[in-house]
Parts: sequence; structure tokens; C-alpha cells
Amino acid sequence: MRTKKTEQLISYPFYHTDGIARHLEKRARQGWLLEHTDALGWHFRRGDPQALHYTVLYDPKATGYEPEPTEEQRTLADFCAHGGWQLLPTTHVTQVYVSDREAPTPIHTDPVIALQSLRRFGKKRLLLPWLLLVLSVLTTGLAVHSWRTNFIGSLLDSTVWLSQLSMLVMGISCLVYLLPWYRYCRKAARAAEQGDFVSTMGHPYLLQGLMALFLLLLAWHFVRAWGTDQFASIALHAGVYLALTALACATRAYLKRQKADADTNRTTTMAVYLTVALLMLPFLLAGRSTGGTHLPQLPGPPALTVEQLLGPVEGREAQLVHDLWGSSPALTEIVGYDRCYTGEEMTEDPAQPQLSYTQLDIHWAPVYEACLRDTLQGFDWARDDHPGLAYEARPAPKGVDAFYALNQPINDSYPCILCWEDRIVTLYPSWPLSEAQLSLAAAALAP
Amino acid sequence: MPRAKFQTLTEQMFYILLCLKTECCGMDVMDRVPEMTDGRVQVGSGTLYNLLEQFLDAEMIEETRAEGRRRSYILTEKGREALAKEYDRLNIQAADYRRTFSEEES
Repeated sequence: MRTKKTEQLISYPFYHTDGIARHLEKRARQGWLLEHTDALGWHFRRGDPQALHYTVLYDPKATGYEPEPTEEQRTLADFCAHGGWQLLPTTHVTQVYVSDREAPTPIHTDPVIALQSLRRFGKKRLLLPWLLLVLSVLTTGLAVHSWRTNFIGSLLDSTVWLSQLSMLVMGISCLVYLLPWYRYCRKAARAAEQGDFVSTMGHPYLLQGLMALFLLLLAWHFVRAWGTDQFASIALHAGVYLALTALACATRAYLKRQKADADTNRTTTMAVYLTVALLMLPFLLAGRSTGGTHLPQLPGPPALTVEQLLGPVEGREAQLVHDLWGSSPALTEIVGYDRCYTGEEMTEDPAQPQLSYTQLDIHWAPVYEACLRDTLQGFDWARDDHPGLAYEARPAPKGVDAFYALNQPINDSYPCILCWEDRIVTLYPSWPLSEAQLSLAAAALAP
Repeated sequence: MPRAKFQTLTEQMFYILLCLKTECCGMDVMDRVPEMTDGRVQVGSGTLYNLLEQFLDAEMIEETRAEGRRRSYILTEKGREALAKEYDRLNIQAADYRRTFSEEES
């Protein structure tokens, strides 16, 4: 039978001391007695089930770099021992006291003092959640802007919207972490004026759920990136981050064992961390993904070529491209080019017909309308820039559900949009297509 | 307007200062207060530790002896004045109570 185990109580916010104490007391009743805590977690050992009382205190002056408890901490421990509370081996920042008395006098009997202590510690501790919340708000704001202005682009890149979702979940977690703290402070301050205590509050199960969701999204992100150069980049960054964290912890632990004072320990640990991080930077930059997920070229020529519409054109050397431009569970984008270049700089030959198209296959019906709006946005912007531009009233080719075209060319191109139930194709021919050519194009590009 | 610190004393503050009328070790205060009050008032070890620090900062008590980590304290003049003020305040409250209820009876 297992005699030792380690738990991570990260879903318990620091201020939820009553919740942490209740959890430890429950474990004690189950026969799991807290032995000590360190950076790796809360370590329990098997023992007889006992009705113990626990209290969690924080030292706002402690940094975690002290080699031993400070004089102040030892004095407080002496006071607590006199009152029947034993200090367990802990990190000095977080102190856990245990009492086996039936009804021990609580360590804090003045709610004002208790709240003051917690608030002093909280000032430092809340900086990180606030920073993460601000980061989440900024990234979510940018994500909303990106989705509004480039719906198709955002929908195509699943790694991007996975990251955006992860940041949103992180932001919600920060709110779930921060809001109860401020509510508790207000309530506890009012109660303390009357000499009353208020039990600390927190949502450990909700936080646990959100953290699990965050990790799931990260794992999905990894799985989606598997087999691409982006995966190597993510793995490299994650590996470096873990290695640096492990190095910092090891340096701190080593210097603590050597009884280095807190300031020396902190300075040295940070110096080692920054030096190694700077040395690793060139490798990180070299290993960075060149952008996006590399998607394969599709076999065969594009679905529609100039020759299909105009027949063989003398002297035309076509460059054909048929690429998978992007893919996500909701959407796939394929581009096809049939172009002819000239000159040393390989510019498009203005004397030759050019053709390209963008094919959007929508796998998830609810996003169809938004994709169509996004596609038509290009036409709307062109109409804003060119007052004479308007939609052309032309019937849709046979088999096409909807058809959009403009009455004038844009940038040497006569774009038009063909819509089917689950496909939207934007065609960019360099000449105005006749009805017959449109029918041929529709037949070639139909799903 | 926020109350000035130690303008009024809580029961625990009052009894801690009372114990330190004579030199007393910090930890022994934890036992003396319940003795003095027949168990009515208890002072937690954390509360006592914090209050002794605050009283020292406010110069209401002073350290007289230190044997390792066992420190002894005694009231200063400022501490005596704070106690006396609190005593007067409590007396005024008691007098107001007696007056109110004797008026009612008469």
C-alpha cells in the first residue's frame, strides 16, 4: 500500500486558508498526514486517521530564498508552540501549523490582525494574476478584432484560435482567482469592525476545471501541430522554459543548502537564469517556425485553367499552382493559379490572360454566412474606393446558388464570386468572362 | 473618518497591556489573559505576536529582557496613558448605561 503521496493544491488560491485547512483536516481524517511542503508540492505520509486542526499562515517578508527560518519566524513558531500549534517543515513563505488538541485556541483571535496579515501578503502575490489578466484581455481584444476584420483567415488557422481560446480561459481563471479575494477583503473588513471573522472563500473546483481545460487546449495545440515544423518550435520553446525553471529551482535549492543568505541566493539565481536564457536565445530564434503550418501542394493542376476557358493560347507558358492554403475543422481554403510571367523580374505578362481563384470549402454550416460576408467585404471595400463600382445584375450560372460580380475591373482583374451550399469560390480572371465561360468555370469548380 | 490606531482598544489589546503592567514574558501573556478573565478572553499566538510588535512600534511597551528568543516586556508611560484612556472610556460607557436604566426605572 502506498505510504507517501504528493498533492498540488494549486487550485486553492493562497487567500483561501480555511479551504486549505479543511482539505488538510479531511486528509488527516482519511489517514494522510501532511509531512512537509516544498516547491514540488504538499507531501503526505500514511498514518492513523486523526482529528487534527490545521492553520495556514503567510510571512509577507519571506522571499523563499532564506536558508533557514528567520528569527521572527522562529519566534512566532515558539508562540504558536506555546499555544499548542506545531510548525510543519514548509517553505518559510507558507507556514502550516498543526494541533492535535480537541479545541485549540486559534492562532488568530483578532480578525483585524488576521486580515492585515493576509492583505500584506496578498499585495505581492496578486501581481502575477493581474498581469496575466491584462495579457488575456489584450489578446482577447486583438482576437475579437481579428475575427471581425478577417473572419476567414482567423477560422482557417486552428493553432491561432486555439491559442486565443487558451488565453481567454486563462483570463477567466484569473477573474475566478481575483474576484473572490476582493469580495472577501470587503466582507472581512466590515465583519472585523464588529470583531467577527469571515470564512475565506474560493472556488477550487471551478479553478481546477478551468486549469484542466487550459491544459487540454494546450495538448490539442500540440497534437494539431504534430508532424509540422511548428511542433518542433513549440517543443523547443517548452523544453527551454522547463529547463530554465528547473535550473533556477536547483540553483536556489543548492544555495539554500550552502546556507547562503537570501539576497545572495536571489541575486545569484536570477543571474544564472538570465545568463542561460540569453545564451539559449539564438537557438530559440533559429528554431522558430517560419510561420504557419506547412501544408502540402495538392496533386494535379488547378480545377480551372485558362486553357479550359479560352482553349490553347499561342505562346503562353502557363505556371500552374494548386495549393492547400489553409485547413481547420471548420474550413479549408485552396488556391489555384494559372499565370504567365515575363521579363527578368518575372512579372505577370499583361499581354497574356491570367487566372487565379480561391476556393473555400465550409465544413461547418453555421459559419457559411460569416464566410460569405467576409468574402464580399473585399468587393465592398473596392466599392468604397471607387464610387462608380457597383454589383452587376447578372443571373447565376447553372448549378450555382448565388453569384456576385462588379460592373468594372479592379486592379486589372474582373473578380466574381460563385456560391454553392458549402463552397464559395472567388474567381480572378484578367478578362470579363462570357456567359459560356462562366458556365464552364461553374462546372469545373462545383463541389 | 478612519479611527486612529489604538484610539480605542479591543478586549485583547486591553488585557495584553494590562498583563504588562509588570514585566512579563511575551508567551506568558497568552496564559495570563485567560486566567485574569476566567477564560472569557483568549489571545491567539499569532494575534499576540503581531500585537506585541505593534505595541513596540507605537512605543506603548518596551523590551526589558531577552533570553534567546524569550523576550520580556513592560508598559511604557504611553502604554499606561492608552490603558487609562480606555479605562475612562469604559467607565463613561458604564455610567451612561447606569443612568439610562435608572431613568427608566424611576
